[in-house]
Parts: sequence; C-alpha cells; structure tokens
Amino acid sequence: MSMSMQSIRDTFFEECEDLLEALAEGLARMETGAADGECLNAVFRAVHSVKGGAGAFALSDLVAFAHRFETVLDEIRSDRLSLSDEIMHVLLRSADHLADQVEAARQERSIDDGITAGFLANLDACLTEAGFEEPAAEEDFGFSAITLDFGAVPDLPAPDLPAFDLSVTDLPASGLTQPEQVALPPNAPADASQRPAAAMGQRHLIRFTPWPQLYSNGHDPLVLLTSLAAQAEVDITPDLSTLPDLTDFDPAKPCVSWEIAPSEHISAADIDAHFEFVRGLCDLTITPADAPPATLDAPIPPLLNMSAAPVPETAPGDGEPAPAAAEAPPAPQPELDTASENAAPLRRRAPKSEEDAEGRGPKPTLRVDLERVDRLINAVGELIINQAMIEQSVTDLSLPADTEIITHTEDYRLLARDLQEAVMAIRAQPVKPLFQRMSRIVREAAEATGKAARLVTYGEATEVDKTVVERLADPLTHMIRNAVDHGLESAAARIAAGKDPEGTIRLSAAHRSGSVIITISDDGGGLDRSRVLAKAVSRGLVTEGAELADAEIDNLLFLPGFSTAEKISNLSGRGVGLDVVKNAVGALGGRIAISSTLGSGTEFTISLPLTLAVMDGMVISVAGQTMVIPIASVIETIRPSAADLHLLGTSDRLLAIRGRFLPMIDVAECLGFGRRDPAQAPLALLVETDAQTHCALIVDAVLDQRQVVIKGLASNYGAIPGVSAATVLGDGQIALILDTEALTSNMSGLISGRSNAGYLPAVAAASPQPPSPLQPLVTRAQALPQPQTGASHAIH
Amino acid sequence: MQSIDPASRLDAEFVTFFAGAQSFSLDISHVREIRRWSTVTPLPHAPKEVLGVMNLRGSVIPIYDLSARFGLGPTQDNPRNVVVVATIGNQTVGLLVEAVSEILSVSKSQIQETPDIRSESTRASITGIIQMEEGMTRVIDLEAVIQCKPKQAA
Repeated sequence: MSMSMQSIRDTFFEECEDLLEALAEGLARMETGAADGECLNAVFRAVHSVKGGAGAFALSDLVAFAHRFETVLDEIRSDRLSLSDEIMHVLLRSADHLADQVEAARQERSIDDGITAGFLANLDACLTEAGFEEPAAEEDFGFSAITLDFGAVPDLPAPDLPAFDLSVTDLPASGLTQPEQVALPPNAPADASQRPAAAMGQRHLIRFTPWPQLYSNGHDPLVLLTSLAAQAEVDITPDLSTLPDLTDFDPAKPCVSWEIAPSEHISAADIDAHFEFVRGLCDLTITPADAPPATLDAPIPPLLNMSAAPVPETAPGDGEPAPAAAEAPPAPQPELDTASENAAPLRRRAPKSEEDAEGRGPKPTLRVDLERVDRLINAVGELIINQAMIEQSVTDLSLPADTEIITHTEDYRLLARDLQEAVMAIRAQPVKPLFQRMSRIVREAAEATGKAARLVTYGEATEVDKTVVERLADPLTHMIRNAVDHGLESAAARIAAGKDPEGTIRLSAAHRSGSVIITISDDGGGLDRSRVLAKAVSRGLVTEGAELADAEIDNLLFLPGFSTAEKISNLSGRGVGLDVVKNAVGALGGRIAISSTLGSGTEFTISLPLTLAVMDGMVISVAGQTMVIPIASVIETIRPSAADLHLLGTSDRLLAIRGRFLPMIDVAECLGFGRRDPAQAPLALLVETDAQTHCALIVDAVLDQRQVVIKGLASNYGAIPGVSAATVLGDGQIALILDTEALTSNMSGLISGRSNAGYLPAVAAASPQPPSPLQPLVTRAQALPQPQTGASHAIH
Repeated sequence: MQSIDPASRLDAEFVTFFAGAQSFSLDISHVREIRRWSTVTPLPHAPKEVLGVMNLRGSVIPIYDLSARFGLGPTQDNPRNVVVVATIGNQTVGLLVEAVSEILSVSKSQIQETPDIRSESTRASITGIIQMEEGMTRVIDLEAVIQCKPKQAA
C-alpha cells in the first residue's frame, strides 16, 4: 500500500462529505414524504458507509453513534417503526450530529460525550417505540474495520488455499481437489464439509460471484465472507468450476464464485445487507435453499475444458485482489438467471436509478485542486483571445472564402468555444449542497430560539460558479439565522396573528439576466421600521428627527454595528450582522437588497454574477470606444425615429415604444465620455433594471455578439462606476464591459450620486468632445436625473 | 552573497527615464519590463493622468501618464515613447514616459531627501533625489504615484 495512512484518512473524510450530503438529501426527501424504499436505502447506505470507514480509523464514538443511527433507520426500513414527525426530527438532528462528529474527527477533536449521549438517547427512544431489542450479536459491529485492515482479523487460520502461484509444479500440492470448504471461524462449524444443499432445510442459499470491479474497488471476498461467518454459522464453498484452462487464464479476471449456505436462519434481507458495500460489483443471488440448487448442478460452461482439475485461482486468502483491467462478468450468469426464474429468488443488483447501468458503479468523479482548474481556465481564456486575434488576422487578409486557412480558423473557433464551455462547466456547481446545509441552520436556530421553523428551498439545481457557492455559505448562514431569530415571531405571536405557528423560511435561487438571484424570505412580522429608526438614532447612525423613506430605513440594517435584537441571543445579535453579509456579497460582485412588509415578512434578495470568468456579450460602440454589454441584460435593440423621442421636463428624455414611455440613458455621457454626436442616429438597447422596469440605453452602434473573457479591473486599478470589468477583443484591444445595473440604477437613484463626485471634474477635463449645441432634442436632454451628478454634468 | 532584500542593501539600482523633460527614476525591483507604446482604452471617470488600460498578455493594466501626473502636461505623441511596466504588491501598472535613459547604480547614501517644496502632491510622490553627472533624477514612490485612482466602489 503506497498511500500513507494520512492520505487514506483524507480520502475517508472527503468521502464522508459526499455521504453526509447524500444523507441530508435523502432525509430531506423523507421529510417531504416523497421517500421510497430506495431513498431509505440510500440514507441507510450513507450512514453505514460512514460507520464502515470510521471503523477503519478506530473512531469508536463515531462508529457507535452511526451504528445506533443505522439501527433506527433499519427499523424504519423494515416497517417496524413508522416515520412520525418526531422520529423525522430525531433523524435530522442525528444526521447533523453525525456531521459534527465527522468534522470533529477530521480535526481530531472530541465531542463532549454528554452531547452524543443526548442524541443517542433520542435514538434509543425511537428504538423503544419500535420495541427493538438490540441483539447481542450486533454488538460486534467492527467488521468494517476489518475491511481495510487484514491484521485486525483475529484468529484467522491460514486458509486452505495456498498463495497463488502460477508455477505448474505447485498445482498438485495445492490440495484443492475437493469442492473446497473454506472453514471460517469463529462460527464455522466443524461439520462444515457437508454439502450445503444437502444440509439445508428451509434456508437460503447464496451465490456470490464477484466482478472484476469488486477487486478494483479494494473489496476482498475473504473479508466479506469472514464477517458473514461472524454473524451466522455458514458453510462457504468456492465454486471452482468456472476456472479456465491455465492457458486461457487471465489473472485480472475473477473466476471463482462462492456458495454460501447459512446453517441457521438468517433472513434474506440480512444477507443482502451484508453485501451492501459490494452491490453492483458482484452477482449475488439469494435463493430459498429448498429450490433446486441450480448453481451447483449447472452445466459447466463450454469454455471450461479442465473442470475436473481445479486450479487455484486468485484465492480469497492470498490478500491479492485481482487488478482492475478485466471487463467481462463471470461466465455462469446465464445458468443463474434460469435458476432465478424457477426459484423466484431475491436477486439484488445496484439500482439503476442511482448508479450506472450494468453495475459499473456510481459515475466516476475526480477530485482536483481548484488551483489547477483555474490555471486551465486562464489558459483557455488566453486561447480564446488568441483565437479571436488569428481570426481577425485571417479576415484582414481578405482571402477567398474557400481558402483552407479560413476553414481551419472556423474549426479552431468552434473547438476553442467547446473547450471553453467544457472548462467553465467544471467550475459550475449547483447550489443544492449549500441549500441543504441551510436546513440544518434552520433546525438549529429554531431549536435555540424555541421557535418552530421550516425551510423551503427552490431552484436547488441552479448552477453557480464554485467560488460563489463557497463564499456564499457564511452570508447565507447569517441571514438564515437572522430570519429565524429576528424575522419570525414566537409561536404565540404567530397564532395571535392568525398564522401557522410554524414559520417558513424560503430560500430560492434562479437565473435572471446573467445573474443568479438568491432570495431569503420569511413569513414573519416584517421590519418594525420605527424601532429600526429609533435604534439607528440611538446608535448615532442617523441624526435625530431625520426623515427617512421606508427603503432608506430598511437599508440602515446594512450599516456596521447595527442590531435590533432587544437581548443578545446566542445565535445572532452580536452586532456583526448584515454589514458583514453585505460586504461578502459585494466582494463577489453582487448586490443585496431588502424589502419588508409589516406583518407578512421580510425578503432579502442577493444578486450575483453567474460566473466570474466568461459571459456572452454584445459588442457596441459608444463615443468611438468599443465596449461590451452583457447580452443577457439586453432585451431588444431599437433604432428609434425622432418621433419616438420625447422630452420630460428640461432634461429627461423618454423613448416611446409600443405605447410605453421608457427613460433613456446616454451611455457615453454616463461614462463621462462627453455627449454623443447628435447627428448620428441613436440606437437604443432596452435593458431591465434592478427594479424590473425597463430602460433604454443609448449607444452608437452594435458591432458584434461574442463570448468574452472577463478580466477584472479592480486588482490593477479599482472599481469604476458603470463598468463591471474589461475584456480583450480580437485585435488585442481592451473593451470595457458595462454594468447595466449601475448605469440604470442612476435612474432610480438607489446608488446615491455614484459616490464619485470627487473626481467628476477630472471627467470634464478628460471629455474629448466639446459640447455641441446642435439638436436640442438630443443634447439638452442628457443630464442624469440624479440631482448631484446631474448638476455637475449640466455645467459642461 | 549579499542579501537580496532591497531594504537591507547598501546600494540600489534605479531605472531612469524622462517624463515632461525631467528625469525620474524607479527602483529596479519594481520594473518588470519596458514596452512600446500601444493604443489604450480610455476609462470612464478617470483622472487625466490615467490614460486608460492596455492589454499586457491578457491582463488589463492601467497606464499612467507620468508627465501629467507630475503636472508637467500630457506626454506628447512620439514614437520614442515607452511604457515602463511596474509592479507593486499584486498590482501591475504601466507608466508612460518619453524615454528610458539608463540603469543607475548608487549607494543608499547618495539618495538625498526630497527638499521642502510647495507642491504637496509632488512631494508625496518623490521619495528622494539622486545627483547625477548632468543634473539630477527624482526617485518616484510608485505607490503614491498610482494612488490617485478612484478607490471606492459605487
């Protein structure tokens, strides 16, 4: 084994993350009542696998807890325990605790026994309800440790099978002349040499045929069989009939299957559960033992011409699982199938809904350092730019259209695009795991505050850049806690208000015009604005007697150090609140907004960029500059006639379109590039603003549509109002990417004065074009509606 | 082997260049490369010394007109004009200058303190003066030079 223990351990914890995620997902489905047997099995498997792995690392607390948890799940699975709300709650909380334990184990901390004991007690209460008594045999649940640690198998006598050796001279000495009994302690009986079929009454006969994948996944039949033998007395007989001729022997292909005949009653489900880990990696048939023992009498497949002379194969005892290369499942399958039909056996295979067909196991995944992916993404970004440059150069050559180089560059373009999309998809992740974590936050927060709350999520499949998903975790946690702690009223207050005593926190994600919108809303009492204002005044954030609009009061919540919690709860109300959230969202290039209705709840809306690296853009020309506007934000482009332009007041212009009047924004002037040449016919891009109203951006021309690689400006320069980033065009020139929301929010006045009054004079100096007095319709109507900026612009 | 840390070194190397017909110099540890002037993309709401941004092998770097920055008027178009690409911290910027003249090796003791001058902004951006055979060169504080950018986000 070349991997150090530490790296195996790391792998275990990585796998635990996935398992815990699957657990949370399964439990969530159970909670909604949509769970089927398979879902329950998935939950059971997740806990079981955590337990199994934990056993290997001697994490005894974790194993003990997982075991109890698993027992409860098993009671539910076997319908001995019905899934009531209370039980569901216990399951959810236990899953949380299991996650805590895993985390603690990862950090090599230990969790207070008292806490674990509390959870165990809850689980025990469930078991008591089910009338469950833990059989003594189950106390020995350490078999999983054995899976990974041969040394831990106690008292294992040297198996009858010798170490596998291809040397022909060894063959006669192998002693494998009879249908071999692998007598397995501790419980293998002395009379194990009986033919199982003869000895059996109304019992089960198991045929276990490992596939190559079983070995390549690191399983070992010996361990499986040993642990089965530890559970019940079994006779295990290897079936060597399928051994190929030595000349055809492929060491990578498993040839042996085993007949397992328990000599005492053991339920088919127990047997099945035993092979839980190798499901989909082997053929497992469980037939009632009184059925014709088809597997034994099955004719030997014709490919075997040496059936009478057993050859030791990669025997179970030699500790050398066959390598991964082989592909064909073992031969006896057809016979088994026939037998199965006659005997109506319980035949289990990997469920196809969850795993790949034909038992190839779950979709293979690869864990990669994020840094490597980013390096790849950067390189592909450069490639796209380079591709555009080459395309431009070829176009500049004005070659005939059928020239080879033109076809090649076209192919290059498509390939580069494919490559880019594929690479970007690596980074995109659904928000589902993030949302799942939040249901735990709600549970905990509800428990801590003594309120009843549930989380409803929408749009879990929405994909967002990985960085965004990761960096959203903290702000979301904060806001969810806030929603439970501050947003929801107490149950009594809710009943008095005629609401469901259980509060609802709604968490949703959706794509909208190139961004991801995440909303967190509660159906609580809404913001008490007078209290917010009073608090702000007492904190000195607002001068006494200031008249603030509702939206302004709401936004006070985002000020540093603002907290309205009357008493400091141990959940929130430490004064580090929404300002932290706002900063975190801002750091991701997002925005956060709040809206609240007294008596019916508060809603926070976070809008975030979809990806941090690439987007579809419309290449436009503004004041002689080439710029890019996110295509997602453009609803349509219109070339208005002079009759469609209307003045409102002295400075605002409106565009008449299909009977509606939309405000117009001159992009050139907004950016301080001077007014557009009025002689040129304006082109209007209809965009949607933050407030979901429409607005027309005036530009000179639309040049192209293309995917652009987003290059940040902030690291080398700083944020520029109205510009979200830059990109490199095909000619190597940089084009600025417009931030439509910032441009249009000047209209609604949400961003006060664009906070750039300080350097507006510089803008005036830099403006290349002198003001033109021509065509008052266009030139006079350009000032921004914002009073502050409008005034400074109106000067020139 | 001497320590490479510039602060502990007794001597220092400077790249000297002309901007607005005056000689300036920058610690060579900041200088990454010297490039020919190419067209820049102007930035909105930028101060006049920020000419715009340029594509440096895929990164977007702002170009400062050093002459304009020191109030010496905008640099005139000239094929000899070059961009000194300099880094400070994680930031990469370009300085448009009229010409790069030489690399100057001096001992730290040869760097004189900036005398009291009236222009606050000039004094803040010049860390010292080095006497040369023909006149002198002004050691610029790169961080101060590029600090005129708009820091705050909307």
